[in-house]
Amino acid sequence: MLPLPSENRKVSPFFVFYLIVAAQFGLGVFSFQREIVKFVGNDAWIAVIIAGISIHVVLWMVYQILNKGANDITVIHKDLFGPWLGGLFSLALIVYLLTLAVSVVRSYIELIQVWIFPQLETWYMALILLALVYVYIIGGFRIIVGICFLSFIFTTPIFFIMLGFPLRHMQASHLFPIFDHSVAELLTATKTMSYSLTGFETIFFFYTFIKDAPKSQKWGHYGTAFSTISYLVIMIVSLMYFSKNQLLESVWPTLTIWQIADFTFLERFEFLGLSFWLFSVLNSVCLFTWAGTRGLKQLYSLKQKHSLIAILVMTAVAAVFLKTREQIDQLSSVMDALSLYVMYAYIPFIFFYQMIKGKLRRTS
Amino acid sequence: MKKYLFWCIFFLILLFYNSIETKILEDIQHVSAIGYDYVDKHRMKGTAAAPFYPAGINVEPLDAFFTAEGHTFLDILQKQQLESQRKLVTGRLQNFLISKELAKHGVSELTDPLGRSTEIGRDVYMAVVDGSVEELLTFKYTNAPTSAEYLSDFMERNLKDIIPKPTVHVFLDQYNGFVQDPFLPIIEKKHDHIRYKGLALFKNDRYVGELSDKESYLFKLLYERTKTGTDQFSMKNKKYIALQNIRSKVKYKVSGSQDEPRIDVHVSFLGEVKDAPSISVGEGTLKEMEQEWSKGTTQRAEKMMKKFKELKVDPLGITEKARSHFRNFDKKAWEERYPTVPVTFHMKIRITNTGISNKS
Repeated sequence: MLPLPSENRKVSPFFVFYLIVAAQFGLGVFSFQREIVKFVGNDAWIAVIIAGISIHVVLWMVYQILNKGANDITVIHKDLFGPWLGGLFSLALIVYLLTLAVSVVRSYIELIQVWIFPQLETWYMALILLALVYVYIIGGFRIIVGICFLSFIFTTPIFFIMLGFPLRHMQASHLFPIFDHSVAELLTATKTMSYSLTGFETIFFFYTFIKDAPKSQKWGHYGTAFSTISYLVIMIVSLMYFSKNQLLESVWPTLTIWQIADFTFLERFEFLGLSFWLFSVLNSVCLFTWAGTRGLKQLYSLKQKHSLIAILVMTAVAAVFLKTREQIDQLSSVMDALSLYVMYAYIPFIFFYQMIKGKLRRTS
Repeated sequence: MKKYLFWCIFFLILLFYNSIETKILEDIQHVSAIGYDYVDKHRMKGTAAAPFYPAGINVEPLDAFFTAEGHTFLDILQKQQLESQRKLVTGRLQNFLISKELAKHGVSELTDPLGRSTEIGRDVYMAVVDGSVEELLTFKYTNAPTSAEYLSDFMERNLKDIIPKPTVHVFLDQYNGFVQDPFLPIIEKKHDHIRYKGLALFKNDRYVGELSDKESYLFKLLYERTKTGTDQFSMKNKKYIALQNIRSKVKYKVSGSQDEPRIDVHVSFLGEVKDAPSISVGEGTLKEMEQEWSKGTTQRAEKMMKKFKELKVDPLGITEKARSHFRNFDKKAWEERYPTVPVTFHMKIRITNTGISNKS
């Protein structure tokens, strides 16, 4: 167990907003619509709202766990389950976050290969991306917060400005009739939606780096609300812009929406937008990888630099080995299922376990 | 030392990696319009207009056309490539033409790459050509430097006032859509101009019928809110009056049950008298004009609706309106019922002014 970070390595509570948005608002905005629309059609936006609310509840639990433990998750695990089982839990969480990073890296490279450069080789792009990730992470947590903030400044305005172009083609009637699907269908869709909002679990690791950490909870909620609203807006726009069948056919509906934009100086906006999304990818990969290496340092006193190099090499190798769309989709769907367990089973479990254990301690 | 070595190798790789195919503006030729004619059941003839810009300052673009026969979009492009001086790219494609003959045989094979390829934008304008596409594209028009430029100006700046915007996105959306049949403008080469002829109606991906240019203006009124165009009608005494459209709105109301649906179409039209020769325009005549217009337009709309029902096409998207109204919408049953669904038109008009003259 390491000492808590000193004051000069911490960041102000409101930065939690950007960190949460960075983790949740990434590549998901391009492609999340299809899986949800498959189940609930025109009611997809309801699933987004339900998922958003459920994430708020989970986030609240996360803060309760951390506020009680007053340290990061590896220490809390150790307190609750002892060094062996606790270590195992921590390791599982770390592996989960690192796999998320692999999934993000590979999806982004695939996106570039399909949209811009079909000849681009995976290893080359992975090399550039991960070299950048290395440079940022080695700079420490505050640098990562900086890149999250910058990425927010660069990507979100583009995202919202681009919503203006499809307006002319939108049909409100696509949204009706509301509630045309059963509750079971809605819940299935909600499950798929939650995957897009995953990533906030990194807070388990950077909690100790926040000044006055319990006060940052409201910023965490603001961040989640912001991501949920972004997803909600793009979902409603896609539903109104596409007919259902076409939405099901599009692999990246948001980019297809961007294809309609026509500036006088730029015929095809999606290429520019896709390049800007590098920031968004970079910050989530940085955040996940940083959380992973930080966890390893807590567990095994590994020097962060060494574990970082090893992990980045492993990420690159994994990315190169995922060759086809099916494999990438498979990884996504595995992560999809895993994230469900992490968010709706594991976090509540820790929450209640800690509560019960606390009560037992007090009575005895 | 190890660190420097790593970064040196890293930058060397960055510098000398060249597996990406570059497309430098000076080395490529942009296809700005592309059109297809019917040859036989499996083959079609594609004509690509790719104006060539010679080097130098203030040079006029040269008209360049490449024609080839083949089975698919890419197959034809590859054959056209055999003739062109530079690499043909479709990134700035602006117009996509289909001959009427080809449209009658189905266009789904042709439009698939429009939805699949990232090299073609979604705001490409589409049209059906009455007659030969090759002739329309390769003709040397006197009113524009290149035929492709004339065509794209015509489609983008002019046609948008006459009919709903016919972009690839709209076409694919309607064609793939659950609930509406696509339509495209028909253009033709008349003497030495391109002329708008009417609206082609599609059932799935096949051309099945068309509306005339006059009908298609009414169609626009029934399809979306508009701010342009003039409408002419005759009074009882065979005097003709032209109305300028200020704005019009349209609203569909679905009522009844799914087994016995009713559709009411409410159009409200705000107009201005632009042309009323030898008619005194006063309080009484304005009312009369309004009534005449409503009556005449309702009749024309009913006639048009009858045509749609006979052809079993739904370009107005009435099915979509019904779907958004009824829960558990049964599409199959609706399709069978569509020709019998009563559609009533309610035309409301208000003439705001009679221009700057008040002749009585």
